[in-house]
Amino acid sequence: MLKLYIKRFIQNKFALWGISFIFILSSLALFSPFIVPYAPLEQNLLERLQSPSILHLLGTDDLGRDLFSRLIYGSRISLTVGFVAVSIATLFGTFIGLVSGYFGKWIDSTLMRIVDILLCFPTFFLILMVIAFLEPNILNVMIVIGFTSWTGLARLVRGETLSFKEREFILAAKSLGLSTPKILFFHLLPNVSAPILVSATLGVGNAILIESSLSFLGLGVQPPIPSWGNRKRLYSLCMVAFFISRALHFIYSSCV
Amino acid sequence: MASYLFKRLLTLLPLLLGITFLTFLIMQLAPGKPTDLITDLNAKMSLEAKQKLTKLYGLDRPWPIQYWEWLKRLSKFDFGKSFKDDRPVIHKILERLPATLLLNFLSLSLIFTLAILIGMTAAAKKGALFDKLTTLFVYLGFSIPTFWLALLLMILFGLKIGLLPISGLRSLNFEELNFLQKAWDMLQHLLLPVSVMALTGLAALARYTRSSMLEVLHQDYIRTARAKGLKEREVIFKHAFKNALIPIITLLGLMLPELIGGSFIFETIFAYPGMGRLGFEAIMSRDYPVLMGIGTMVAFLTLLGNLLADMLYALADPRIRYK
Repeated sequence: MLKLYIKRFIQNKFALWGISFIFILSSLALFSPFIVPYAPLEQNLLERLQSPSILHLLGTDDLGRDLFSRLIYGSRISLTVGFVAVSIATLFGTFIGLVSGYFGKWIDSTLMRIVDILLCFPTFFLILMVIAFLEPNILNVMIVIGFTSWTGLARLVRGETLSFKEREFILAAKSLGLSTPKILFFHLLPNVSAPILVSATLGVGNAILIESSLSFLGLGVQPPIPSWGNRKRLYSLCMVAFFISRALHFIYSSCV
Repeated sequence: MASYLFKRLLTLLPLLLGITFLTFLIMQLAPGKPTDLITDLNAKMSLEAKQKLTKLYGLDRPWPIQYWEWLKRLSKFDFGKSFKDDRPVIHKILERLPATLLLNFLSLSLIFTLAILIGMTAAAKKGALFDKLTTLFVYLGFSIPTFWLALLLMILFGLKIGLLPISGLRSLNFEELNFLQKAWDMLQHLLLPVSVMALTGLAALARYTRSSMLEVLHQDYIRTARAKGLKEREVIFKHAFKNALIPIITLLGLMLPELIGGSFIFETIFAYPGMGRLGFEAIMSRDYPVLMGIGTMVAFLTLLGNLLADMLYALADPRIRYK
């Protein structure tokens, strides 16, 4: 099974391109201390606000910090926020969706009413409120983004579950006497995985965007830690980087 | 139809209750109190005065009772008074509401018209240059962080070219202008925020219109319409358009909370005197009554928008009947 999967994966040129792009990006983030020429927090007031040169690949900011180093370091924070927030949202949304669709009855209607309430709540208002009242730090930002963006996925998974639970293979699993968690996670989950994967890939970009708009309002990851949302010169640069990679992502996914 | 409307309005109530309850819960569970800002920074404030203030605001009672009190007042459309300047919350919201409604309405109509035009033309001439160009534009629109774009546009049009004002809704000499000049002045102020806000939803909606239109164009009745010799324009705008409209309306309803949530960012960026900015300021200064009022108002608007979308279904597709 796994062998077949790997074989098919290697045969798909687009998939290989994609995985190498992800590999390069994540190794940039992972090994940033060995890649960057300057420490991201190192200030050099003699060299402030410089244009790009060989010494400073992307120039320096108003405190003389090397922007290239900060960009690479910032990708760590932003990727972390993106992945952790999306993992929370995906796990939570999938679980709620599965349970709600499979058990039906009052469990379904209670859970879906909660989803209804959250869906017509402007998410950004909620996020702003929670972050402003708690302490704006990276952990809170990730948790809040994660717990406010699971609703759409829960709806999707519930819908898929509703249609799959009537199929014969679930009936077969039931009559074989499998336990409910086994049916849910080993038989239903693989079949509803397509929308989950799609929403997770799109979610990472969205989470990074939300984090950067929070940082923009001064409520995200706090300076001097470089995140892609920090203001000033780094900000524009990161937005360009984000813009390009996201545009690539969409154009790429339309080619597949 | 009327009885359906009544039923729907009834279901709005529990949703609205849920939303206000959630807002209240978050405010109460958060550490710290709104009075901290006044008391902790003021060295002359005695403990006694602090307790007095807490009591004045009704913050000394357990939160379920506070919520109940708030609900009781709400039933009389009394949102309470702002902690900050002691003005009734309802006045504060009402003076900001028209500006927000104007902004959202304008960007929503811009999104709707442009997206439908782009999507339909792209679908009618699938694979042509226009289709490819708009597809590219859509991907760019999807990926660009809009608040950053807002900043860039402000720098370009406001500072470099000096063509448009970069903040607010009115110029300083607004009162001296005649009616036409007033309209022109407001239009200038609105241009940037409206177009930036529209871009957030435009890309997605245009894409959906295109795919929904493509699906409809493959149907049998379109072939029939063409076979009986109707002009292509009539086929597209009369026969295909109405049927392609239904998923778009759904999406429009779903976009509404996002759009209203977006006003919190954009109104802050553009220093626009709307509800979003009032909300942001209220969050920052922990003005509970104002926050509750805005939460209720925003939720109500969203629910109303969803209801409107449902009503629009029936207009677009007579087969849909509400009972």
